[in-house]
Amino acid sequence: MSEQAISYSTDFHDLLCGGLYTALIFLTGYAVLCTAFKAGVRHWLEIPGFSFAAGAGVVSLVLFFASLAGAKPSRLILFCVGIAAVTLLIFNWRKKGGLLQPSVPAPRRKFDALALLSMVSVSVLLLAVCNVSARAGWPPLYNIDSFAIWMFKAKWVFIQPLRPIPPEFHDLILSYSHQDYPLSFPFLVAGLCTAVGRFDERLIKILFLPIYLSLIAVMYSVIRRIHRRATALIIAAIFATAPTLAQNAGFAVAETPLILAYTCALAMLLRWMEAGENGCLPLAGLFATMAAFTKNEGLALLPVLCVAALIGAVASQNHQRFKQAFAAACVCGVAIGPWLVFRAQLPKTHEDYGGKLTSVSTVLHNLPRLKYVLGEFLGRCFNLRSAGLIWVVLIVVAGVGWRGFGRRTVWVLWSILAVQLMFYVGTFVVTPWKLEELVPMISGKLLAQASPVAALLIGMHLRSTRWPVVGDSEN
Amino acid sequence: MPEPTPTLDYAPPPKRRPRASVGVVLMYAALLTALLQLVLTHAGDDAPMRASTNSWSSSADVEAQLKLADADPNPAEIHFAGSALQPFSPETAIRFARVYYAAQYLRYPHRLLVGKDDQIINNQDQLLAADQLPPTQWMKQRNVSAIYRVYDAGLIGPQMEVHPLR
Repeated sequence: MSEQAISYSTDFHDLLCGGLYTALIFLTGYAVLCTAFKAGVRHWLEIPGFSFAAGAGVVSLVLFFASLAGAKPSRLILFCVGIAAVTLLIFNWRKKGGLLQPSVPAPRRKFDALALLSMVSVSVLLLAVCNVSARAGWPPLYNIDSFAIWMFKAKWVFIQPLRPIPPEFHDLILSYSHQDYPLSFPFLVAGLCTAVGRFDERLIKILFLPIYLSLIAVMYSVIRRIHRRATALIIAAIFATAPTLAQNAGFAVAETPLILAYTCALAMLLRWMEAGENGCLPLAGLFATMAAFTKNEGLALLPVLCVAALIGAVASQNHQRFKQAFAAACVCGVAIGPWLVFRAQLPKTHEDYGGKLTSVSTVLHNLPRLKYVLGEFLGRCFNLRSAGLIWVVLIVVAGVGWRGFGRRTVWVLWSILAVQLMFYVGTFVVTPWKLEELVPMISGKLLAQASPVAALLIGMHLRSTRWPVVGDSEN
Repeated sequence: MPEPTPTLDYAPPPKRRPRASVGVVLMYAALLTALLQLVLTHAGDDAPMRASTNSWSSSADVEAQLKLADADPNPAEIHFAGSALQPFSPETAIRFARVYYAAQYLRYPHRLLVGKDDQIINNQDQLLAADQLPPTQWMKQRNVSAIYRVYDAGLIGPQMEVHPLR
């Protein structure tokens, strides 16, 4: 009987529809990138990585807005998204005289100790990709969060629109599924099932590998802008193959999409602050909105990123940049607004972290828990089986490359990291759950969410040392 | 008077090999250690690509039974049975909660009731507290078509029996 349940009888039609849906996400994201940037050559991994991330965000937002308008996910909506993406591409091609093109990778010309390390990095990345693929082949009901929260909600939004509000969102019996959790990942999954024509939790796994590969591509291409190929590979490997991150990449949970959106938002924000490239800030806003629509942690990070952009604009003493930052923050607010309005109509669970963290009396009452939380949470940074060694590497590199603290963007990144970790510690302090159960269970995930900042900081501090950078080698 | 040794004006200055600073060596060591630790993690015995399928066969059993019972659109009642002499251990309670969440997911959009369907269930303790099998008359009034009786079979894991209610 069990063999019958776990056998894979996926036929060609399902795979074809799933592949077309994945291609639609890439195409939509590529159209968004081409609209934001001038035509020209970009790193060959930057285009697919950021395209998939942007496409996933746009497709899930479109499905959400359509659902709010009373239309459940349908092939017609997906078709319209595809038509809009193609139209946008043609418009950009005619207006800008071309589209974004991938660069051609140059052959390796130098073999040194760093290149040897990069070989190890490639091996680790390949092993991690194999493990993510293998884990995606496990039974759909292996991970409790996937079927209790994320896939369950995907079923809700797959079979009915959000207007009128479906009874499942008010049913207190189902409160364990956290009805007020954001709906980006459920809509992304519902879109896939719509493309296939039925809800099948096994087919959802089609999305896992593109999300994970996009994460690797984004981190690699971001670091590659400031470092030689070997260094970018090493940092991308230490970041993307950290045990908790790689583990969650093989499950139907929203961790990896959140980390992908957050990484993209940080990368675009930094590029805007350092290079002032025009299209970067709207894209940072899009990715920050996507993160906010993926998990509540992303919602908490949205104002942090907006404030960081405003600070960056003020510090640059450039009036034009200040206006850009303010406009992007407004766009974020408008894009996430409908979700906030919808969420306000849902019953609050007993967690209600927003309410608890803003209540001074609740925080003061729970303050004695801080010592335990700090000890356990910071201890997890050095847990090899959970976080790997990324935090240790950050401490070593920041110590050696202390001159990096002279850069404004490094300060901004450290500030974002500090606020993020303080937010997580505060959440633990006021949580209604037993700390002894909760902290070991989710602290690894929270640290994985903060790891993009750590990886970017490693890259930026390395620049301030005698580490070989771009221009010293094959570049 | 000895002639001075001729020097070559065009000779390049002697090349000095750049010495690696202690900091750079430290960073190489940190990065290498991090990468090797990741290799060990991803190629270890418990890596997913080497994991045995035995670890999840028990959940697959219940999943298969739930899928077969899924055809009936009428509500079903789930009941977690244990020994009266031995109360549920925390591990068993967690396994039961897992089965309950999976059953809710698989039965959706059909209803799955616990007790009289009037309790909020956020964790295994609340689940087991609510798990009082209602009177047959009550279930018939609500068109409950079956009772899913879940029990812990020790090492095999949770098992389920479906009892039609006619």
